Amino acid sequence: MPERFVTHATLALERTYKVPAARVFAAWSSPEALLRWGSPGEGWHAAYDRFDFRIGGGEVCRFGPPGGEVYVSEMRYEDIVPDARIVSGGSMTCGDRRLFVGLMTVELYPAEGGTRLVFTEQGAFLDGNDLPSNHEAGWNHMLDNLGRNLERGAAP
Amino acid sequence: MQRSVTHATFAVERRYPAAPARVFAAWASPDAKKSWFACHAEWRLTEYALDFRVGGREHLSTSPGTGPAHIYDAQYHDIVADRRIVYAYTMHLGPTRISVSLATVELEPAGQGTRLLFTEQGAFLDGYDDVSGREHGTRAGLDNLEAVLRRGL
Repeated sequence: MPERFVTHATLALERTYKVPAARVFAAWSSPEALLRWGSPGEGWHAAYDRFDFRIGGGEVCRFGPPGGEVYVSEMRYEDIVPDARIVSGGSMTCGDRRLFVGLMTVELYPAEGGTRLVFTEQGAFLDGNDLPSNHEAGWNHMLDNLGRNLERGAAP
Repeated sequence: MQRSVTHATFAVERRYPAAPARVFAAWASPDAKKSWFACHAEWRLTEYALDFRVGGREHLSTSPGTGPAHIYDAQYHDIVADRRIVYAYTMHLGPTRISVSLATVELEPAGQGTRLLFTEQGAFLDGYDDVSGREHGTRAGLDNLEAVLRRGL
């Protein structure tokens, strides 16, 4: 039997984007938009098996590095306030191993010349199968991609 | 309306005079869980349902007599028999969503009994509730669990 242990960690990141909140919100609320920026590393693949953006709805995403393992993220939307807030909870697995269970909060606030995004991930990392530092690197990469995507003026 | 989110984490540790399998069963069986989980004994439990498996859900509604119902809805994300339970849950006060939380229950043998570690990572919404109230309620529930285990399941 594998050793069982849980590492709890909270990741808090902030970005200010020079676009209105409605455009930032739109970038989180459709699979087409998410696939444009939501890759945690260069060259990673991702595809949504399911995407139902409403409170109580869920999404299933398969993603991974080129030629590497395939991760499956299953999330459920717990709170959505248009143009202001998204809270979701779910888990990530790889084959038959569960790596991670977490809550994600995205808050959007008006800021001088644009929108301040506050991202918080509250995670339970399981049995050493995943690490908070992986998530920190991945989310920093994604939020920077999102900024470039939004500020290029691409469709959200 | 002014929107806000306060993120906070608390942990509670308990030692119970029962083996991990008995403590786990008190979380896994609807009849057992219903007997201790509502943190206010004087409130009326109006609805309870538990589907204890990964992906399964739990629902609890209690009425304090006056004022809106307190409604708990959970989804189980990780279960390791006799060892670990991880679930996400929301709390509503009537129609108002007041928090979303991730809860981890870890069990390990300690002497003749069990050490339980409960960790909650909460997102408290729009100032309706806070982490100290939640920790207080959680401690009350874990006290109830001890009483139930001492009585024998």
